[in-house]
Amino acid sequence: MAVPVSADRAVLRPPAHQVASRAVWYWFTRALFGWLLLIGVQAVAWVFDWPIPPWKAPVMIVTVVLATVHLAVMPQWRYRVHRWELTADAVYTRSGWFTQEWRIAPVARIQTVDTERGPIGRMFKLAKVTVTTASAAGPLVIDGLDEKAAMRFAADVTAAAPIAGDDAT
Amino acid sequence: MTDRADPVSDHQAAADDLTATDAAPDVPWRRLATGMLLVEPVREVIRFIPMLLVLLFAGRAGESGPPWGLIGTAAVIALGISRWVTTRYRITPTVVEVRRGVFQRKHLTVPRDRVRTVDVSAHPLQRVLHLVRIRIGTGTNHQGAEGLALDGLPASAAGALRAELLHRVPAPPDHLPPNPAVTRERDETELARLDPRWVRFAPATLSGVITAAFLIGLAWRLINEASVNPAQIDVVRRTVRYLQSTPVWVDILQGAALVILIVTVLSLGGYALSFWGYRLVRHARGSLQVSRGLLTTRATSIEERRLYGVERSEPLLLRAVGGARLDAIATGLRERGSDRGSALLVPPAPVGTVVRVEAAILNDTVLNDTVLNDTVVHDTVLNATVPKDAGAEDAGSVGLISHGPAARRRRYTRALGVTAIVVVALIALAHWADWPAAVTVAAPVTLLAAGWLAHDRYRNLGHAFVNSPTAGGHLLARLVVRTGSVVRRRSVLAVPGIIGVTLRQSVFQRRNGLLTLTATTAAGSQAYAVPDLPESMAAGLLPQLLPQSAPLLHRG
Repeated sequence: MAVPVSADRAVLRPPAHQVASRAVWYWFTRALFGWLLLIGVQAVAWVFDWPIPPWKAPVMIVTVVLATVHLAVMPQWRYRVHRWELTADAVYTRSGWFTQEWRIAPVARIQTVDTERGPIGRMFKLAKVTVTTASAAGPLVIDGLDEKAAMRFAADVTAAAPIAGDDAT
Repeated sequence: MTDRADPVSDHQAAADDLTATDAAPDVPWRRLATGMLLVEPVREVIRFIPMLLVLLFAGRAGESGPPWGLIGTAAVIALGISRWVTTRYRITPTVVEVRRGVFQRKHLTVPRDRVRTVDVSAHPLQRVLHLVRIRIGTGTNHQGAEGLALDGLPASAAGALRAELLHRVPAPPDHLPPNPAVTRERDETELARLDPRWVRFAPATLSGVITAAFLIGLAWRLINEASVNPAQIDVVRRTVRYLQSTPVWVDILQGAALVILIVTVLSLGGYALSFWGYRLVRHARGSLQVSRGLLTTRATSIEERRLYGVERSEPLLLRAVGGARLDAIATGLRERGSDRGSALLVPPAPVGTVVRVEAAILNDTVLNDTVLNDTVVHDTVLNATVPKDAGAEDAGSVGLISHGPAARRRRYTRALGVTAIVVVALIALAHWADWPAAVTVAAPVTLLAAGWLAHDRYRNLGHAFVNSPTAGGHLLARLVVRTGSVVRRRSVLAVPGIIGVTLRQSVFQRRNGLLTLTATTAAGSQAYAVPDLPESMAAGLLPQLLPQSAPLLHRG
């Protein structure tokens, strides 16, 4: 399936590294849980004949169709987009799927590197790395990174960041 | 309230080291001024007046039971007094320390070199007793951050303390009583002061509408809680009888006139309350100071090395009458809760005045030489990315680059697209759901309004990269962005303040070759977006804003 990643016209070249390929199944599972919850609530509403939502059958059909399309398209698409790189003086990430985002933060401005593993992430041995700067608007997130790669990345960034005399604002 | 993440606590570990080793152990701990023992209870009682009134009414209506309101008030008064009893502070050569808390003891420490802004305010009661509240802003921006406040210092000490904290004036061993040489603050230049005629802009700020809504809400709650039937009040009854005796259109006209009158009066009053005695001065030692307020006075000092730019905002109504306001883009200013408005540089005023003040600030104060010499990184910015042809234009008035036909198309698609859906829905409802046919009349009007909005949004949209000399002769690169229509904002952000860049592109933008470039910063609203920038322009702008991005550019 042709997935638009805008490689030819993009302003920035893609970052060097892809996240772990297991991330496709990780995102699939995560989204699946969300959809199952929504469908489950509707099923309960149907069984007990709650007034909400009205038009139970059409709403259920729409939900199932949306879930199928989302689960079929999103993980692959996201996997093609998600990339990351640690250059000599900056962290560079690309993320998203429908809306894509390129983020660059100079290493000198990095304040913290957080590695986080949720319950679903642990099932797949994947971690989410968050790089923050002094701006409340600018964390860089690499989701679906292999646990070992995440540790290495955090260590590399810490090593590359100078001991800041200032507070990097 | 006390256990939230606190910017001050963030520095706690480091600061504890300091206190252990460097800080002079002989600096004594001080209490707040004794006058606060009077101020705190009185203020609490005033705050509880509506509740006490309610209790009075309720009591008359035959309700009995323990006087919860009085008990609560007494408790709050006791808490206020205990705050005075438990609060101690001291200022050593390296840190500002505060100890406070009744049940949960808290020790706050701010290293002196982290102090970015000092905000001095005094409500009427404090003014009578010559007391002030000082809030010290640090550079952090975490949600729920408290900052460090000293509520209740002698007003005479405030000036000295401010000079000492911001300008690192060598502190006299004991700054109470104040050092007159510091408080005189003679090295100051006035950039602007309130012109009483500016008050004509007050009705255009909609602040009156908000105040009116607030007062109506308050009155409504009071009436409800006191279980008074409005129909029993004589004035209300007579008004209703009068309204019934006149035709409907007269009622509407009279009502509208009354609303406009009330809103105007309220907004004029609000403007006077907030901006009376407004003055913007620059201290030669490197800070801007805004002082203002009729009853509650407030003086905010912004250290110039933390001032990364300014933002001129013009809400539609204000713009229609030729007004604008100016805010600082600086680190360490909070725009939440009681500290809202601390970034204000010029209140709603004629746009010409605002532009003049803006130019004065941009040309001489924002990031002057001291900054460029002593902080991080910036030699790369200054040397590598400064294109020689950018010219020495003035960031305050430079012409902006439009974003081209694709961006224009997108403005119209978005405005008209959304409106079209609404219009179709309205017509459908009128046709099939027996809504009054009058709603279909609204359709062309909303479409016209949406068209004008799209037109105006495109006309306002633009950016520029400006490289102009500062007072010290250095070249300073700045990003200028203007967006919006209902509230038009024109932001000037110094490139050394940019600490990251985000490019964002939706599928629709990708098809049109546009993207949204966002410069993130620790100052102001944290992120300044250049919406719907053509990709070719983004490729040129990006390395100028962030030299580290140059090797990441696509080489086609």
